Amino acid sequence: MAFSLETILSMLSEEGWRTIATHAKVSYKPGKPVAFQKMKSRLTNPVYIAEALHALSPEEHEILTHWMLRTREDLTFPPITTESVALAMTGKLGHRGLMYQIQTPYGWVYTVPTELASPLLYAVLQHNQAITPMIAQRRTPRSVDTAPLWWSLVHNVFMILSHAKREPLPLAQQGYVYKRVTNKLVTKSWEHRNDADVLEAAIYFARRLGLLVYPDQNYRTLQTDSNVQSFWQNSPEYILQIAKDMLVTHSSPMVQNLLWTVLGHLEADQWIDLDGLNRWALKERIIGYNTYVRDYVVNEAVSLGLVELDQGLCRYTDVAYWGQRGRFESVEAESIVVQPTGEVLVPPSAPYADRWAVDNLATPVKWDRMGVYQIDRKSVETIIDQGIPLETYLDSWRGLSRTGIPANVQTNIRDWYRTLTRHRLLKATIIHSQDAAESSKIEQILTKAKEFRMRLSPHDLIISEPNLASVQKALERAGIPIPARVDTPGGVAADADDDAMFDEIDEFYDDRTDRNPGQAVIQALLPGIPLVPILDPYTIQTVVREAMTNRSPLTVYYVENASDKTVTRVDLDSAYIKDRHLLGIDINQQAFSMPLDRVRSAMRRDLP
Amino acid sequence: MERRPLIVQSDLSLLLEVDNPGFEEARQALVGFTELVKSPEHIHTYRITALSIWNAVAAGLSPDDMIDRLNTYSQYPVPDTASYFIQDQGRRFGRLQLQKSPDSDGFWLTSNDSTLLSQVSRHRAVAPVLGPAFGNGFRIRPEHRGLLKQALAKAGWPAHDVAGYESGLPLTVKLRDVSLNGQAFGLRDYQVDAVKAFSAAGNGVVVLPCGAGKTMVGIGAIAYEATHTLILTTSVAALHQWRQEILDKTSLKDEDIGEYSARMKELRPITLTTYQLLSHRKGDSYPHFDALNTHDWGLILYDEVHLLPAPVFRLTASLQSRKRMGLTATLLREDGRADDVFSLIGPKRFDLPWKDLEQQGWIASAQCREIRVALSDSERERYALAEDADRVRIAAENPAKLGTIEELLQEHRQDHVLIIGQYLSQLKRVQERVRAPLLTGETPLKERERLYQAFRDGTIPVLIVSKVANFSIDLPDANVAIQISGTFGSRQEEAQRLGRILRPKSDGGQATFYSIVSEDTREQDFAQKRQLFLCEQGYRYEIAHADATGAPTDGPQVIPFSTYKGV
Repeated sequence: MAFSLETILSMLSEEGWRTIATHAKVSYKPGKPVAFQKMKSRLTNPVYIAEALHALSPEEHEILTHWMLRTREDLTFPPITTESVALAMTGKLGHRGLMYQIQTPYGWVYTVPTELASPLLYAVLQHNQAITPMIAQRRTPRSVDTAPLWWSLVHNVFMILSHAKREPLPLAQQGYVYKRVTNKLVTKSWEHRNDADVLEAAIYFARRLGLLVYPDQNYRTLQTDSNVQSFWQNSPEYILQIAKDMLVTHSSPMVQNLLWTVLGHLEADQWIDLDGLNRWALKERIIGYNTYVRDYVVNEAVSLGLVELDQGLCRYTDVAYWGQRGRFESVEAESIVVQPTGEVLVPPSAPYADRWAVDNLATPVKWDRMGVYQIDRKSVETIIDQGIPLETYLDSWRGLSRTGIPANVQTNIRDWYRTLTRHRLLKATIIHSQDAAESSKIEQILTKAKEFRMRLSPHDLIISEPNLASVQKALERAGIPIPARVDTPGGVAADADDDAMFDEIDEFYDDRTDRNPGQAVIQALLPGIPLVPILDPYTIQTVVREAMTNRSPLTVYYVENASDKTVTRVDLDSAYIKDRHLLGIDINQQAFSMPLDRVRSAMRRDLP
Repeated sequence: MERRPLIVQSDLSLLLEVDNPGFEEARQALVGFTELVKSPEHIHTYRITALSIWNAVAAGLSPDDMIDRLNTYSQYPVPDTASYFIQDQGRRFGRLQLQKSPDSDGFWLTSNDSTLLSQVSRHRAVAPVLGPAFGNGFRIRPEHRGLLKQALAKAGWPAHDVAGYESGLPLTVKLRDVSLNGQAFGLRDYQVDAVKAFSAAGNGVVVLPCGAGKTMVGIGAIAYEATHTLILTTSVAALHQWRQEILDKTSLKDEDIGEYSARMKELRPITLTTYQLLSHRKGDSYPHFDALNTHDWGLILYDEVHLLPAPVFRLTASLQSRKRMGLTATLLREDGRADDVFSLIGPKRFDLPWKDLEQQGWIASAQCREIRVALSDSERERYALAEDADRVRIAAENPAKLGTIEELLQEHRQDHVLIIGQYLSQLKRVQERVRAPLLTGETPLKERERLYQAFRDGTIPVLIVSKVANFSIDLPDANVAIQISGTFGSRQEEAQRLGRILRPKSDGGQATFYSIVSEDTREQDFAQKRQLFLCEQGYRYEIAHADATGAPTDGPQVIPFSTYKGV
């Protein structure tokens, strides 16, 4: 259970506000809202906290130290009902806004808000002179004096998202990305020292933020979320803070609070001696601390690129150190270079959003500190697939590039657009009519029903595919019934194994086709059988063939002997043809076999 | 803080920003241990390779120096991978030494590291060229000197060859201050630098753009070394041009220069021959090579070293005791044998970006234009139905190109125009249409030289040439080249052809290079690849379109994309 300062202050009574404002010397006019930021800034001020602690007696200090280091990791403390030193301590800190009493469904507790946990802990450590033994004497200067915008976590997340946008990441049974994929990405990673753990930390980060999502209900792959652009609009400070927060949310909070607090107060060239920290923490019996947890937290922080290790020493990386002080390198907009070779170079100082935009517009060649991309036919093809018009594409480059688009690259882009949009593969549903006049009538009906797309020929109309049912309904109302079945050109593709069988059907029926194809006739009403159309051989052939292709159940009418006039019905769950016999299993699971020349009629049972 | 010009990538490529104030200084710092990969307008790319590190160490630069230079100019911390690679490769060079044998019997491969000696002796490529163990090393037969160096370089442990070179027979030669044709002459600064860079090492390759005076660098090396020299060229015409230049620019007389060709077999202090003749084989032997190898040469010059044929590589392996200089404009080998050039001729000793020389006025500035010509309906149908292999030819010989050539000749009627093509049938059709002389491999040598001379004199304004004129032909006043077909996607051919028109013009004018390709065909794709090297050198191609008659158009219409949406 942890409470943020914002939550607590929003629930505080006016009297409580006034008390804190008085002690904190923050102006407060009754009835007027006090800026939360102003109060927060005052309460987290180290000098203010030191002054507050200065007002405590040694006994009160002792109790605060015990509470902060040894009691509970979430910094919530049990209630005190009797007059005591502890009560006096809570009162002193409470008046100064550093500790609050919270009513929960299970009773009331004292708590230190999350924003105050670190500064208060630091003040306690300082008071107890605990910091010095943890700091290594070695002084190593930092190689840079600002936080680089392009740092390992940002790089790895970017690379993973760029990759997963083009090729979804396959997941193993346990829900992890396959090792072979992670290892492949490691080889493409910024620095080869990045091992699989670092990549997995970045994948975890991206999943937690919803940047990698399941594309379907199979949960077999992860794909880049389509709204990932908005993530790259965030400031570098914000992304760094997310990384730090993320670590805290899934691991031991006390150990992390302790580490972040000490790391955050080190000079630029100082390190924490992990052995020194260990000795002190074990001696002080710090709640939640043991060597395993410490190593786990440190390694996680290393994987996220927040902490660097060197022979038992650790400190913030450059990005974490300078970043928490708000000293990021300056972002340079429109800094991208498009070379006449079609190569696009994205410097590390380019805004994240620009780099992501380039990633959408060109083919990645190298995800490195300087991003290298290529404008080529493939990238233009992808853009065309996304439905982006030529001028929009060119404008995007003009907005990003500091060097414009070289004329030859521009001409190539135009030529690729022209050639790639000249021919397209289209999937369409067509209503074919035997009569052109009738086709024209259908067009009128469907235009009204907004289902008409385009006329292909005097006999053919293209209609909206997803609304077949409403097309059918509209035509039926207009007195033009149309079968629901959708034919495919050249018949439905069959398995290779089925070819011989179909040849057999075709061969058998070809000899008997003496009518116009497709023309069904009703020959007679036969005794004992409900109204059954007796079909010509061509139609039977079509029905049997389609039923077998679609693995559909089949109703067959046959005569026992060639001279018989009595027709028998059988319902087959499956059927196939061999040696000029129709074979199958009927609905009673009995085998059925009949020479083809005795089959009089057939129909698919799965059709209305 | 001011931005530094360099970014070191983790894959060992270096990106140098041209517009940065520190560019020039950084470039100078990188020259010693990196290779220039490309130098387009805004950002130049260099690469650190094992070869470049070995070269640098051989030249006296330590790995720490190299890392310091990177740190000095790099905007961001140098990746660990780069530092580690430099340290690792840097310590490899010099661990093995190739010396003259202490007992004067051949050479001796030795090292202080006996484990390393044992390791390389087991290498499959190295073992066959090692002699018996001798002291702390192995005896090496003189004829294996080159092969051993080649094998060790491939194994990743280059030998430091300190066995020295034969000094060769001495030659008294001086460069003239005024050439025979009365013009003031002196080597340009960069040519002097190239000669010095070569002479300090005794072997290696000088890379300079066409028209920048590579022949002068060769002549400078002859004068500097003052020794008998064998010059290998690509053709007899090129051989004659070398002869002419040597006579024009040095104190050497006609009788000092020999031609060793099919026509005559003269062995003189300066002898010129061709690769073709040198690699001529009779049974198991190379008679011309053997004849030339008997002479005590102090220097061997390889003109257009990127064209060195495979047999010459093998022969060169036995010439390791002579100083060797390679000259080229494009150290690109489409067959990927660049490392053989390194181990047998020597590493790249000198290189200058083309655009730098253009800015300094040493080569003409050039405009490059690609003209995409439509195929007529019947040609388009022919192209569509043809086999893959035939399509390239159909596209290359698109009859509409003739119309475009006429348009261009009309525009350049005041200029000296070279029309360069690949296919004789096409070139003959062009000849019939434009009524200009045609020069091909079939043209007799005398006629060739007459045509070249007439073109130089200006009596012939347009000359149609096949690929025989790709290299080594000096046509100073040619200022327009029209390329109508070529060898697939060959980058070096494109560069060499542009090179024909890059010699500085007497009027300071600009050169124009046209490449005519058939639109929407594989030829257009090949053109993209062909142009890469020049684009990387900073040249920009403007692209224009022509219709199926060859007449210019404003460019093809782009079909509005929205037409396709919603279906």
